[in-house]
Amino acid sequence: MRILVNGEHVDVEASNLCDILDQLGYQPDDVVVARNLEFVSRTQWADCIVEENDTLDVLSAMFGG
Amino acid sequence: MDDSWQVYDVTLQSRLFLGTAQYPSPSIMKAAVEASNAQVLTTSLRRQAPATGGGETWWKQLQALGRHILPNTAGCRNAKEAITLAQMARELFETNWIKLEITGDDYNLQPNTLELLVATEELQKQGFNVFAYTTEDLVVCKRLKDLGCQVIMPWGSPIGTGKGILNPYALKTLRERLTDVNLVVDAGIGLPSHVAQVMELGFDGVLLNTSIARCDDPAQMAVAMHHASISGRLAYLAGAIAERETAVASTPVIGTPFWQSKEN
Repeated sequence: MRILVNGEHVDVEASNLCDILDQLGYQPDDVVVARNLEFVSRTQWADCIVEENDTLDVLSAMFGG
Repeated sequence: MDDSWQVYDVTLQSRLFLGTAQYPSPSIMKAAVEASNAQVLTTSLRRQAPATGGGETWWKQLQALGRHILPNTAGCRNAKEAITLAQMARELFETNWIKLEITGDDYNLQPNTLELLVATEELQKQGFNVFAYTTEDLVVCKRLKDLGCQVIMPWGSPIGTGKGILNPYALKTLRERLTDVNLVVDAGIGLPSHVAQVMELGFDGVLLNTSIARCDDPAQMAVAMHHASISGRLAYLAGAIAERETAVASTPVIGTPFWQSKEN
């Protein structure tokens, strides 16, 4: 299945958000996620089914003004 | 003298909020933070590739400084994006505080105040403590206050310009009309004199980043900004004299030597 992760096309095998993040190498405690511009809380990751052409934004802490 | 102030659920002594971007190195940022005496630091969220470590190292360094964290929504273009990013920030940084920043123009990074009002209303409902980055527009600021926003942050001038306070009349008016809300100038500060000017107007605080991070000696400039905030604040509390159009001699006129009455 092809999805967009942080603006890049990525092919993933899993459909569960938790498994997708694991497959992509993210550390769960370090990141927060939006799917199709909607926030998905960590408590919802296991139940979040990602579909073909979905967009994921995976963000972490950064310096800012 | 205890001059602490209340910012939502937190009592602060420092009047400076400090950004964490653009420093030459993490160690220089740390030195500047400590020198500034700032108790509130701004942060952001950005896309991260797994290989970069997810920003965790930097975040741990920031946590070690023991300051209050104020995440921003920099880069958002509309209320929808800002609301989603605020929700993400709440989970990542474990705070209800959000510096709500929605860009309306690429050239001067002017806040989109229309979208700002929409996002503020929704985020207040969701239990966020909004710090609203806005223009100096009185009507917008009044509306923000009506929506429950307790920290309103008009710009001094566009972000990163260092131009200082371009519209002192408008900021003075804001302070006079909005007496029971925290007003913090955010953006455009270049010099300690700008900080002092803001504080002399009776503003509650100043948020700055570039003027410290990009100068030749950030830690030294942080000290200067810290002193300027205190100086301006004390001057405001002291109650400045009213301006006059004509001179008034400070030395007593009575007994002036060499003066002779022309009548005799």
